[in-house]
Amino acid sequence: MRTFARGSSRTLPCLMALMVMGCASVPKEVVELSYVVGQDLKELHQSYRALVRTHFDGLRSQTDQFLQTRWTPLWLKEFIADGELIEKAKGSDPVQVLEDVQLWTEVAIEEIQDKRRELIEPIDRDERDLLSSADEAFARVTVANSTVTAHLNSLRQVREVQDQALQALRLGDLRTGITEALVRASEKSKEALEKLAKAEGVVDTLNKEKDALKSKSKKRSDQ
Amino acid sequence: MKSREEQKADLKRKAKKTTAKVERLLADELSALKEVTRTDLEKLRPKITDEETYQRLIDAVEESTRRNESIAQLKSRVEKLGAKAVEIAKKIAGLL
Repeated sequence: MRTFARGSSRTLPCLMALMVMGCASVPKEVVELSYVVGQDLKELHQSYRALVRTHFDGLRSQTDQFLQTRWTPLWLKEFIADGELIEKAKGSDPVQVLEDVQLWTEVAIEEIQDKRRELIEPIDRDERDLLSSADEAFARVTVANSTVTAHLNSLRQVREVQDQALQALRLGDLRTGITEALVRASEKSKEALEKLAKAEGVVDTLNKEKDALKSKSKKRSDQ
Repeated sequence: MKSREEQKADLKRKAKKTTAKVERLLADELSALKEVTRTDLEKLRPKITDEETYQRLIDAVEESTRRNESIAQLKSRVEKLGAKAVEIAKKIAGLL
């Protein structure tokens, strides 16, 4: 008995500390919520990517419209003269005419494509850059969230093992008791803090009234 | 008689001159187009916590998770020790 008492004086505080530490409840919904957040992050990521693509598609479309309605017609008009297309087309040898016109067309198409590339490439580059930044950011947050989910899940598993261990020791209700006691203590301290705040307000009011009375009586004595 | 490649090179030079002329004629419009199609990437880039901080926190949490999982495996490990060990464990529990 004496041995038990001496042993328990060392063991009990450790056991209590262990239990109190393990008292915080980890409902299964916590793991579920964390998992759901992880799933929704994937959706947000896809939505963000779609938004970025829409933005850059708009810029590409604006550029193509400019090329089709302004740059290409003017360029063709000038190149028909500079590249002597009409003279080539009026040649006496039909085979030579075909070859010359084909060559002219080939060069014209290449030049127009070069211009398009020059205007579109910076837009494509910006899009790749932004998508890569977004992918990196979402990947980092997703990995962090999975880590938290796994940890919460492990906490639940530990809790189950602790419950089984406590049941084996016939102390199954102790943990619930401690948790409830802690909840009650926390609620009481909250109420006490609210009362203190109210009391502080009353003291302030009384102090103000006291000051007002003092100044009134001073005025009277001065008169 | 020039070869096809030489003829193409001549035409290419002429095409470049045409392009330079058109660039001058449409200079204002081209400049306006480049302005409206420029994206302020820094404004749109997600500014999240740096990778080192994330990694440090993740490593710490993962270490704690490993410890928890090890505790969670306690029951199955004890069971693996065999029925005899479980019996002894129950007897010890009964003494407390």
